[in-house]
Amino acid sequence: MSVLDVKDLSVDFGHHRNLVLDKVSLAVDDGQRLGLVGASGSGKTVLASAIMGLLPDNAHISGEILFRGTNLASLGDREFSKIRGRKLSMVFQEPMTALDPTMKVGLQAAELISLHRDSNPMATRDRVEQVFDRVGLSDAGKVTNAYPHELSGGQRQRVIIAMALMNRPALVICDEPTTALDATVQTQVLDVLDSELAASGAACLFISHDLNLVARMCNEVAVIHAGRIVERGTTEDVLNSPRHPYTRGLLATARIDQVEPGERLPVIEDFYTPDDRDNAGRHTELPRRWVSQYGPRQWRRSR
Amino acid sequence: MTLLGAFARRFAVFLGTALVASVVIFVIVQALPGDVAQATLGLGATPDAVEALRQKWGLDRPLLVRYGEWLLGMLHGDFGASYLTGQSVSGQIAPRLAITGWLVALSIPLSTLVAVPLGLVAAMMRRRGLGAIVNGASHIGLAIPVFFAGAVLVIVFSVILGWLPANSYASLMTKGFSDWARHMVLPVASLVIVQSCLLVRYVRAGFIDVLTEDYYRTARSVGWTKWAGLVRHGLRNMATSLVTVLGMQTASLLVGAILVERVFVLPGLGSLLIDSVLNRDLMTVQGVGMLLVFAVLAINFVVDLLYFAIDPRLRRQVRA
Repeated sequence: MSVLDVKDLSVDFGHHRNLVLDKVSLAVDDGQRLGLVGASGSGKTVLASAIMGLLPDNAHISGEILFRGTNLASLGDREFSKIRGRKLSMVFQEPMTALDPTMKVGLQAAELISLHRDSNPMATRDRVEQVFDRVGLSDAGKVTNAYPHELSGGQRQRVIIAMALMNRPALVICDEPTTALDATVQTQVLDVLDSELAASGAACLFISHDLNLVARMCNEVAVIHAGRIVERGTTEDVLNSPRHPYTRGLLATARIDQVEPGERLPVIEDFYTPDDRDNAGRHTELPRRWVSQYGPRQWRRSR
Repeated sequence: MTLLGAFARRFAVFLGTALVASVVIFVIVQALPGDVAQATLGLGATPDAVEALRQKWGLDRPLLVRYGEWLLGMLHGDFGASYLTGQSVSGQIAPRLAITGWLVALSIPLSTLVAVPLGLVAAMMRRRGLGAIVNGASHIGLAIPVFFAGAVLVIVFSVILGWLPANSYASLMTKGFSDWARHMVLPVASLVIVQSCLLVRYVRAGFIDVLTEDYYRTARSVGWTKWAGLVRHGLRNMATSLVTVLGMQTASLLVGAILVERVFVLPGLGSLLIDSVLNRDLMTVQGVGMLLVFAVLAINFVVDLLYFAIDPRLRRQVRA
């Protein structure tokens, strides 16, 4: 059974209704790890924000986001807030700014518990320290009393992972959780995330532009391009025999070790064949905003 | 360096600045053109009479001696005696400071209490009707001079409705609480109306900043609703800029309250300063000026301490 079932989700922004997600459908099964790969601006983060219900006010959304059968897209703020942090949680990209600088991290983590169930202060503190301990924050008692600026980037991201796992959610969305960390810390944090996700049995939507990370963390992968899911399959299949030209390009451009010094770096467009172009000679898969920039006005989608 | 050391250093700066300010005020006031004795006696006075007056007031003594006397006197609350009336300057200041002090002490906290919720609404609903109404109203309120607001309040509540006295002051000590309060309502209200309009703008901007912060998104993702999350994680982050503005407003209101004091015929500190400047009552000018400088420096000192209380990152910088 799928924990998350996104159906025909379209999101556009602002007065001009710039389309960012175009009828995206995506399902995540219970306990499954699904990687979501795409270039910057492909709509990865917007998809994550839409699922979390954290899109900015000027976003328009259509389609369904079924979470355990509940359509999140139709929930009001109050009802949605009861799900966020409890059954559905998120790990953000930027650990340096994702925590409130004026509040001790232990207190911020304790909010996860006090917001969602009755718990006495002692039990809450024990639970926070227990989870902090599990994500590898040594001396958890001391960390709970620290302000975010007193912790390193890796420690902060561990705090955020601990917060995301605090209530044993059914689905954790990880939006480039290690992009902002340096390589050694990245490995440690991924290890923790990997083992804790496995231990809690939570499903995970793992968003990244780094194919190696996805290959390591996920058993299935979906490729998003210009606001559409262009390919989905097991990690092995997609990475070894990509079907969509965009995926081929994405994989090839990631292999810069094969580029001779002095040679031009490959770009994704190099991997499109003439078949991928429409009658006017344009790439059919070009992002909408490029189309509206370079194409005639009727290319702008209006609804 | 320890936190205590940082406070001590700031306190030393505070005292040092006050000392420098006292020199500046003394030099400027004593170097003003126009001899006080001559001015008092009029142009027809004989040089002998003027000289006699100068001696009587001690104006013939060296500047340094007069500065030293003034400074030492102030240290135990004696601001000297007015050249014109012979009254003690401290005695003149005290009752007026009480009036202005009440106006400031009541209007600043009250306008904060009004502005924070309104600014919160204006920020959260900035793309909707209510936010636009609050924002627009604060723009209009900013354009209203405080004396105009005062005059309108007098017309409505004193002249038409007759509920509250239109002017004068009733001392809390001699007239009792209810009489005092009735006299304070309108002047404080007119200050609050104008002050809170300015504050709303800062509060709104502060909360809008928080809405775009990553930690607000985190707060939402852990299960805070829009409003509760903004209060819980936004208030303290927004408070730094709020206390900065509050400090500036408190300082400017000490003299600026004269605009409302004149409307309600309240003898406050501002009118004492202006009257004594017009009368060339130098000792009073010096005394009031020094008091105001001291108050402004004290406010800044308190604002500095509040920064430390609000933002833990500053405490860290001090220790590093």
